[in-house]
Amino acid sequence: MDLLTLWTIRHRDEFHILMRDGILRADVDQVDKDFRLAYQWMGKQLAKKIEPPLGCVYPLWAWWRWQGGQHPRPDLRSSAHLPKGAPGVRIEFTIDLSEVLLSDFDAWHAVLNNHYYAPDEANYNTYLHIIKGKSEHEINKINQDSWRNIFISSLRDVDESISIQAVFWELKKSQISDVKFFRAR
Amino acid sequence: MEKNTMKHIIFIITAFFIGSGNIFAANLSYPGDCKASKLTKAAKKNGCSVEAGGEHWKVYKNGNVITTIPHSVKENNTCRAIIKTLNKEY
Repeated sequence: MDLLTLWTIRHRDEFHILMRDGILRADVDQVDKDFRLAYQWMGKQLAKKIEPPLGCVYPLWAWWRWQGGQHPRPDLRSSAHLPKGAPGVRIEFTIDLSEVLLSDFDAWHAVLNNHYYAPDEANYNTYLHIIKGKSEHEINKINQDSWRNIFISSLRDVDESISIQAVFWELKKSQISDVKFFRAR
Repeated sequence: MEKNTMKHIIFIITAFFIGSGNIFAANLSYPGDCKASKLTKAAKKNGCSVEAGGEHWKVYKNGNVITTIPHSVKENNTCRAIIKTLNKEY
């Protein structure tokens, strides 16, 4: 077993559900409508690794390294974890590596913004060369294929400077190691 | 009208159009403008609005999200794509 310590930022209402039911899953109604396609894509990638619980389409999100290896735990003094003024909770928990999918948070924006993910300049220049003369449909396919490279495949030699997010299907009460309530700034 | 006066008028008109281009266009450049403050400032112009949402800024135009800007912007392809989108909107 490879246990990871992760932190997830939730609304306090979700924490109460977790305490009441002993388990928390993503609530479809709470999923940001602007990012549904991107979140569904991420859910599909997670489903390739671990089968989702029945009816689960959207995963839960957490941080493994919020601001890189130096600041892995989300700082609650920072703004925008939740809408301003919202009652929140930072839940620290442990989970086996086999149950999560880790990805580079910055690279994840290629999926959110629907563009090509180029890890470096050389790759980007090759991309520009490849897409010459291609149709929009073909370019979209190339763009989407690049997204598989946003994932962290090995915990060894992970760049300390990058923010790494984690997705997983469910959080159990028994996994919790610490809880900190806050009001979003 | 004297030749010199004409030249001055043409110069002023040309300068105005070049200048107004800078006012109305985002004109963000990569990698020099890869800073969250610069990108969000540019994103607030020309009918776009910016909203905080889970570790990034969501840029809206006509009710749709056109791009998202991470709180921590690096000089990489994510920033390049955001700049491309914002420049296209102006």
